[in-house]
Amino acid sequence: MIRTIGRLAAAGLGLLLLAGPAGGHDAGAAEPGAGGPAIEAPGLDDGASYDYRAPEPGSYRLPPIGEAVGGRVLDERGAERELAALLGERVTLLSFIYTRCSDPEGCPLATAALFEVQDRSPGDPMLAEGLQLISLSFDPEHDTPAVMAEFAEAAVLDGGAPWRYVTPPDEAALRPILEGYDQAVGTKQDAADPYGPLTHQLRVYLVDRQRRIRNIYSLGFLDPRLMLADVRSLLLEERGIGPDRRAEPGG
Amino acid sequence: MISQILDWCRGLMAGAACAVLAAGWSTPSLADETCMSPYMAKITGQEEYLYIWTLGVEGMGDGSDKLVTVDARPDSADYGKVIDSVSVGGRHEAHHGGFTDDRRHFWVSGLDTSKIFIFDVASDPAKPKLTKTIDDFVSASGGVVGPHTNYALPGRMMITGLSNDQDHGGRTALVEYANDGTYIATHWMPTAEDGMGAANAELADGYGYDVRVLPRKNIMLTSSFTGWSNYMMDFGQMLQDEAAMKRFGQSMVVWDYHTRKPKKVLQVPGTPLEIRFAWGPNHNYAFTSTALTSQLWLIYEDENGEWQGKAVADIGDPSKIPLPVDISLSSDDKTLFVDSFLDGTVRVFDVSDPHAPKQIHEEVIGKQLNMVSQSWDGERVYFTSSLLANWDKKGDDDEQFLKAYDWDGSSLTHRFTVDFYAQDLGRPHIMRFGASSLYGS
Repeated sequence: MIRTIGRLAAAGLGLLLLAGPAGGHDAGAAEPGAGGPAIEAPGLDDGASYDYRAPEPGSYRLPPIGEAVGGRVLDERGAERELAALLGERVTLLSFIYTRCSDPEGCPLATAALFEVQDRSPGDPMLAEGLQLISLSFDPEHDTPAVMAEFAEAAVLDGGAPWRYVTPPDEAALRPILEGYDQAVGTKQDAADPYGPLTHQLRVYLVDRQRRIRNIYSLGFLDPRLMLADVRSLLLEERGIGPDRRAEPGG
Repeated sequence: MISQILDWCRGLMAGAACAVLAAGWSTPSLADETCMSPYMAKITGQEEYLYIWTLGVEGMGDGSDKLVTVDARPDSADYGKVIDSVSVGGRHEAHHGGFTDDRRHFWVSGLDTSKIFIFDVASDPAKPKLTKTIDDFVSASGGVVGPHTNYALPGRMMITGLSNDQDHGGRTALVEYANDGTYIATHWMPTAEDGMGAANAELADGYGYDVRVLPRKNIMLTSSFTGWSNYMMDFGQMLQDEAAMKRFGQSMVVWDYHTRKPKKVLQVPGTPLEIRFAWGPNHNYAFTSTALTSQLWLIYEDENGEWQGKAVADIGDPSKIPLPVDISLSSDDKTLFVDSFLDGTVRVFDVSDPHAPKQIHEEVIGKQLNMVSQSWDGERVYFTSSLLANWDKKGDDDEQFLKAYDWDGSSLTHRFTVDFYAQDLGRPHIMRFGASSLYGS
């Protein structure tokens, strides 16, 4: 727990998160899953906040939702990489972020959940060898490889699943990636918004080695236990282990 | 205060939990209608536009179903006026619709032709643009007919069916689509013959209507209506058809949301329709109303963690069959609006104690009444009139309107009316809110 806070802080995300504007809240903040003050957040150990038993890996289907497209990106050292090739290496949790974001219902929330997932990977060969995390910036002008490298450094975990921080070289490279993942990014009407200048829809994508999107997580759905179950389900699927398929009536 | 929360977090919870709790303390205010998917982007402030999915009427205007946009900005010169109308061509039994999770697209569907029309509402929120039509819903889904609820999930839509292409009865399924309109999967409703592992499967009738998800509990809840052969039949004729009147849903299904597997079937006689989960973080319950028995039902998790259902109030005089059709729960879980079709009446219940609702207001809105939507702050309420093309009243009783009211906690104050017949638009059904502030630049 303390390690997670420390790693968040090291990545700048925890500090950014706590630097949000002060102010009252209203009922609007209390919608289910929207992260209002009375909504509890992902708790990996006891599942108290997500009040259900996580599914048994391999016991359910994750039908493909669509293709996980590729595109040109720069890694933390500034080397150009093909996103599709990276996605083909492991089962991937792919998060779209921008590091200037301090929206508590945005990038920091997704990153915190991914830290929880990664923390489970050391000592678990299936996860350590089969899973990777990728954070992809949609703010290439600000999020240079040097900026991303700082975040990547905080995300290194010995014996754990690797975590890449990549950024497109320019807007031209970014655009088809955003279109491919149906990610709309805009500039806020209030450019001085303390949570950051950009609008976007928080989503984390689960991608299999065949570069198919198998699940999408957003607010109310970023349960690390669920993401772990889904990742393990795909890794079991690679070994031929999965749910019994039943014939569906009506067709 | 944030430091106090963090201190508490450090003692109890994981880092991410601390982050969200601390952050929640500073979440900016929001306002929005209360009946949509919790995954969805929210409007900040006053709604600007109302999108109304409208049935076409033969000989009226172009006779086609259309998406009508009404200006809801009180300071606008066009406040309360129709500012846009987009025809989809033909009549499809326009009924329900919903936004995608990013709220950039509005999916609306037709119960008769099973077509789904996808509108871009982000590029110009004042002028929605039809960008895609799904016209192979029946074949893609494996025989599901009558797409009804369009419910946003992360990156996808969950569509409830009402019928099937084998017998056009009530046996049906849930169908998932990606936000780009690509078919993903079909999940058939359990039946007594194939309970799919659900408890109380002997009660399952296979019917469908609405769907809602409570993510925190991993619960998905579905309700049940009737099949194409009934909802496309003349209402008066159907009431006289003894066999037809037996073909209505009597159940709800509690699902494991993530695995899409039915967990338990609840017996809810009288056709449970709209579902609204409570919003409070410890409120593990939902409301529904039964159309034929005119009761308000509570679906709740009991002290043993079991999901149960029970009738908690009558809606009007059930012996007079007011036919409750839509409900809207306030964001503080204290006030429930219930529209009933045949008496054109809204009844407002204090549901602070969900097990013992108390009616606090009753008012006739029109000669017939169907949908109700309220703003997140609970101060504005909107009503529409049409139920189904062949079930709407006839002659002078066939009023077709959008009406806007203010609600002060005890009474409604009329703000404006749009007469849909006078403007040759048709029969207004579901409403959703729009705002340009959602999309940035």
